[in-house]
Amino acid sequence: MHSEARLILGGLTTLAVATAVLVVIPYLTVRDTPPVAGLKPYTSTELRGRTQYIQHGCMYCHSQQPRPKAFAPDAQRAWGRATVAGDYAYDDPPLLGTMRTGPDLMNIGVRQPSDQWHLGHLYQPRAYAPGSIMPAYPFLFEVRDQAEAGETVVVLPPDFAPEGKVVVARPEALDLVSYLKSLKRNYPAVDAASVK
Amino acid sequence: MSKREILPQQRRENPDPEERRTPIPWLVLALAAVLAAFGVDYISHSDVNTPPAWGDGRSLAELVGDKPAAAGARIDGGAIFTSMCAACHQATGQGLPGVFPPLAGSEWVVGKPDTAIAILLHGINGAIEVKGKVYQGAMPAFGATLGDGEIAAVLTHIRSQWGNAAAAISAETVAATRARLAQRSEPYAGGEELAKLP
Amino acid sequence: MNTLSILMSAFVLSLVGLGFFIWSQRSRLLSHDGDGSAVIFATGEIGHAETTALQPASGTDADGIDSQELLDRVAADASTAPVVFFFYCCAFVWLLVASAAGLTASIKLHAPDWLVSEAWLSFGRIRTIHLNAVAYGWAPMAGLGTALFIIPRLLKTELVGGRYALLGGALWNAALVAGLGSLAYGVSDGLEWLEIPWQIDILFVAGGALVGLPLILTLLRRKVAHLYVSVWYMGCALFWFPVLFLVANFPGIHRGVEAATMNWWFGHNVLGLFYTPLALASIYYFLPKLIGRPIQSYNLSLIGFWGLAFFYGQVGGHHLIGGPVPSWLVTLSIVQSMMMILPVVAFTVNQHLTLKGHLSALRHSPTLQFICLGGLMYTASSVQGSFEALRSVNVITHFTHYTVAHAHLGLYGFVTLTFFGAIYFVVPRITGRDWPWPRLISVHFWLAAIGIAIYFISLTIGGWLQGSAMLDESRGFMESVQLTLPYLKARSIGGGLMALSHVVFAAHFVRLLIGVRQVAQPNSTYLAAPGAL
Repeated sequence: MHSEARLILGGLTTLAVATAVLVVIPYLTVRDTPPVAGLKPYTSTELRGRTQYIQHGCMYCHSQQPRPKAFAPDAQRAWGRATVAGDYAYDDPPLLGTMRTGPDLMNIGVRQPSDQWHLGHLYQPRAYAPGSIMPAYPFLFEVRDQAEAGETVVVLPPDFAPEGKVVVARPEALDLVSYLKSLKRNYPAVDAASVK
Repeated sequence: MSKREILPQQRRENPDPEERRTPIPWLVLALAAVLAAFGVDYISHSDVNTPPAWGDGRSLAELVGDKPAAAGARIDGGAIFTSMCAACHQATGQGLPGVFPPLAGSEWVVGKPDTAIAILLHGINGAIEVKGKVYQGAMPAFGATLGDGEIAAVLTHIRSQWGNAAAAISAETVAATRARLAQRSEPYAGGEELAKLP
Repeated sequence: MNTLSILMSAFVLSLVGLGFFIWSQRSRLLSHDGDGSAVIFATGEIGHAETTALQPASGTDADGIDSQELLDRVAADASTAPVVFFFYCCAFVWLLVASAAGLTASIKLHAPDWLVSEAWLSFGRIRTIHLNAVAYGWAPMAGLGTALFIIPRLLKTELVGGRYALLGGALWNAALVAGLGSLAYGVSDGLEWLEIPWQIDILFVAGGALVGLPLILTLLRRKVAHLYVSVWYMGCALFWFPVLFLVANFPGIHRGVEAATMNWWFGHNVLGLFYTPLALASIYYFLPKLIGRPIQSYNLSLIGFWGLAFFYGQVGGHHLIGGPVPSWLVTLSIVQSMMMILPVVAFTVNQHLTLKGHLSALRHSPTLQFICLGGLMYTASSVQGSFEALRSVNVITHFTHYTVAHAHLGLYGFVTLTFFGAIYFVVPRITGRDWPWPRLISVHFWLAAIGIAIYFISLTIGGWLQGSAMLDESRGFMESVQLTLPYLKARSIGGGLMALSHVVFAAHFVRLLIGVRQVAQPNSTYLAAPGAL
């Protein structure tokens, strides 16, 4: 090869093709897919919780994309129906995830709506899910002699509760739980009447 | 240009590499043809004519969602329990000591059907005594997530597991209770209020 | 026209176009013609196996070596030595940081209550620090350092504006310190490989430009007519990376599932169009150099290069198989993943032809051991990746540790081992010091090789079992978690050996630096060649 111009232009052309396929065409066709009817925008508390989800890297172990029935029994595991582009309309950035070291969370709000469960599970996962390898997040809580008015006390099984103290959820933990509880995609993704 | 020191390391190495023009083995070209043929074949067998916003490999049937089960269709109460109840009450139905009450042998589970249905529909927020121990109840409401048939199925399941042997509950009973309690929007404030239910 | 026919015609047309493009650059593509070889082939090279650091530095005379060639090399090295040295020093630091973070993350997966009191030590953050320290620290510092060393040599010219590259490297590292700091603190953009906040990315762009521009100016000042294959890879990588990085990190453009396809367009291309070409260029340079034989087929190099440039760019969609992204896009990515077999085989055959009959050189050259193993791992990880992209395989491996094993086979087994080899070769030439304890190089090699073998085999098996359990709805999810535990522990052992090998490597480097410079012959200045100056 003798020409650097040919080399570089050729190289940039191949990258341009790839960019067209994976970035430009999706930009034109699916980026602005409107939200599916039934999907609610996040509240500000839920959005703060979403930031916590990102900060603590939850998406490195939990996916948010149940697979279709033709691929995997995700629906039978109560992870919900396969998601569509419109399910992520309010997700910036989308947190699809690449690992299922833990279960898919796209519908955790449907199958686990209990605040106490979520809070205790974040404080010590193994107290609630024996055999879990999820890290504990003690820094989202405070261990004190007694709680003040308006604070959320986490009720823990005796083996895991600090003796003579109470575990109080910090605002970050409450935000995170509120985000997790908002993860619901239990409405139809497509209106049957609109597709014929 | 000044004199440059030549390191022994530089001196002992071979000259920089170049390329010979050995022709391409035919096998490599045959491989190229095979791969291209594979590509054409794979694309032609792929189901890509669905709307791009649906995603990969979805069928219309699963995207319109599960219709409420037709009357008489069997709903797997055990599956609902595993996915929605077992995290707190545990697969053994024993609950977690001090946090989540047991369902096995619970007087609330095997007692009046209407009370059990009411707990699932609207949840609990307050102290409740189960098998002689008091729990700070924080049961979520499932009235909005689960249909009548599903609530009936899961209640029938837990009323017949772990030594429980109470009668099955029908979807019609759930529907009737739901209608009767339609005005309620708050969880029950604990065992005392629940005990007063008719 | 439906989507299928558009996709099919685009695929076929692009293949035809690529075929013509490669054809237009061929040189006796298929026929044997006796005189072809001499044209792009330096004089006086045949039959000299590389003497290595394991042998004493003799004053080997330049008999049979084109002295102008040697002088060009010496001039090129003199212009790059301080820059390359700086990049390598940074690479060592990031290698150690990344190893510590990676090992910590690995142990946490089977000891989840270990080190949980600090947020920055939690799995989600330390894992991200590991990835970013490798992705923006070790790999680019080692790769760009090697490129800075090789490119001027191959162009027979001096590096233009080395001080800008130095400044760029400093900026880049400052950005990385800031980036890792913000990740530890909990500020993240939330997309894998793109976590570092975009505000800090501006520094990377400035630093990267200051590193890239001198290399591009150097390219324009070349004193050779023919561009050697290593230059193709490195030259294009220097253009590809900034495009990828800028498009991916530009704030406010990407949203919804489009952000996901962009994410994997970037995530896979930063591997395929940045680290991979830098490492392949190193193999194309060091392998023939060390055994003293030319690369056997220019035409195979063409297929290997343009095939990679075209197919690799489009494979990113295979990370989203079964996901909420357009079906046609996933399908095309799967097909292009399989097409990648072509350039990989072309590369492999080329290296095999070059190495054939000269395997004995492996015994003497530690560089060659690393490079050859790295090259083999390129073939292995690429072919594995191609098949992993098929829907039938991916349905099992997706979301499991199998993918993690595959990623490490590529980025460690191939890229990192190759850069180790490059560093062993380059450091003596930029410092004038030989590696003081050649045996430590073997220790490093075997620790790293055995470490990655344990790592890869255990996670591959564990991941496969994990995926199979997840597909079986009769088995509870927790079963898929529990069964991976022994394999996760084995991975920590493998990772521990790898980290230990890096400590050995870094200690050896430090010892080389604080040791006495062995070249104490002022009269060794080489002026023997007539008309050299």
